[in-house]
Amino acid sequence: MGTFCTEALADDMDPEDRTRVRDAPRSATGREWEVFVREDADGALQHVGSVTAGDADAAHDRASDLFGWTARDVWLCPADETRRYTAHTLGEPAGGESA
Amino acid sequence: MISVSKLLCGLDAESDGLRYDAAADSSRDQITEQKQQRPVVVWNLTKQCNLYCSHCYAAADTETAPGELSTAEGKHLLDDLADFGIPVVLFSGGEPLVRDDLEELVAYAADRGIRPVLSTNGTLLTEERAESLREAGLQYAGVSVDGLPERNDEFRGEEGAFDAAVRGIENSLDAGLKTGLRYTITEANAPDLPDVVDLLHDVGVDRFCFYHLDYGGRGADISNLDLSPADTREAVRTVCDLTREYHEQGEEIETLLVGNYADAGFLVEYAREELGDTQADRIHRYLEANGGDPTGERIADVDYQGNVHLTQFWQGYSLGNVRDRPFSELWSDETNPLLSGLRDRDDRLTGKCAGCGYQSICRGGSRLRALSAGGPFDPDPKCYLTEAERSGPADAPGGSGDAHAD
Repeated sequence: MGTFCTEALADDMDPEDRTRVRDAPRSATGREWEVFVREDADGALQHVGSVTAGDADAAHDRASDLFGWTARDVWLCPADETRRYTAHTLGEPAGGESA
Repeated sequence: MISVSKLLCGLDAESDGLRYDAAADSSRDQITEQKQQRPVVVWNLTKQCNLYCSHCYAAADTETAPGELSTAEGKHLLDDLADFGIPVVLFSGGEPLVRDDLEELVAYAADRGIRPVLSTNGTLLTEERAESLREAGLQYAGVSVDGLPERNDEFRGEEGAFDAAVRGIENSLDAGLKTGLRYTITEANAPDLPDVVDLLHDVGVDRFCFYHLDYGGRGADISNLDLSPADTREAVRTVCDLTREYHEQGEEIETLLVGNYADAGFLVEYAREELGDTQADRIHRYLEANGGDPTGERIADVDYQGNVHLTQFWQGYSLGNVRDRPFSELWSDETNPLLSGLRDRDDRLTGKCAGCGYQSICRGGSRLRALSAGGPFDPDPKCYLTEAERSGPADAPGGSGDAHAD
């Protein structure tokens, strides 16, 4: 699982060990949409990456092209509305601290 | 990436081990002694470019994108790539030379045991930059030229771009860097191909990479300028004929085809027609070791904002972002059904790919173009093999070779 559902992380993980990924833009050519799919009716919703699209309907079309062969349900979330917290660090960004 | 000169003319190259698991048979020092285990990673350092090419997959323009990876973030990325066993990083863009930390990152990659190579439009490759890049450890510079001067300049949106690229090539060669041409074949520039090879061979270039147009970024906007399947076949035949003619004249140019693994089937057919069954069978074995279309396996891309893509052309979908999760984890996470599906695609390929006799050396061709035609397991609309050819040779299990990035 990625960094979106923090409650899914290990029980002994101290919340302070995670830092919020800064709100850097995720696309320079459109809006980025996080994609979640459920393969079966009783399966878990799974983060499977992101697509670039102008709006939710277009994002759904893109996601359906990619995952329609396997996905029963598709959820989309604007990446710029998603707060991501992670124990992973990539070093100092240009121009200062992480958000 | 298919080496025409290796397969048709027996020209050894430093990538024989990586590409064909044939290091032991090669007379050249090898990038790796073993067949490729991890992907070549294209890193688009920046979106910014001093040109505006009509086919740019990265949709680059004159502005820097917000949130580009910093030098420090880039070094952490390279650490992860090195620990993961990435053999080659291709520094690309935009135009990577607009970043003044390029040499620092090239040197860091080299220190970490990754082979650093460069993709550039050549126009900013001054004597000083070429020298400093060689000193930093750069191993190869691929310079994009897409036609004779007038056509190239029109394609690249700048008068004088051809001459500037040639000056960059000369500076790169003078600095002692291995330097090659990158040429994306379209309907507009296919007729220029032999003359461009002739012209740049005179300049000193001996490596020529010919790219088929893939439908990513602005490349998708000009898919109508792509060659028809019949014209694609003729362009590939031209590359084969031209390579053999140069070699017969004692000029050992290296020629490669990139981005359409129907070329693999065509090369076997070409060899059977021109060189006989023994050579055709030998070439088929090499291409099986190479392993066909590399999407999701032997090529990967990290864009300027840290998004990880299945190939450098497939910018509209990302597996995740290296600011959230290391590349090594994203690339290893086969709970992603698309990633695992592409790696285990043989039984998923549909239409004419499903029963194709060349499936083991092609694996369906470009999955991005397939997506443009319907879905990730549909046939590549740019396949130009005939029905008789597709039902031809007996199939055999495929292997894993190298990717299309340098």
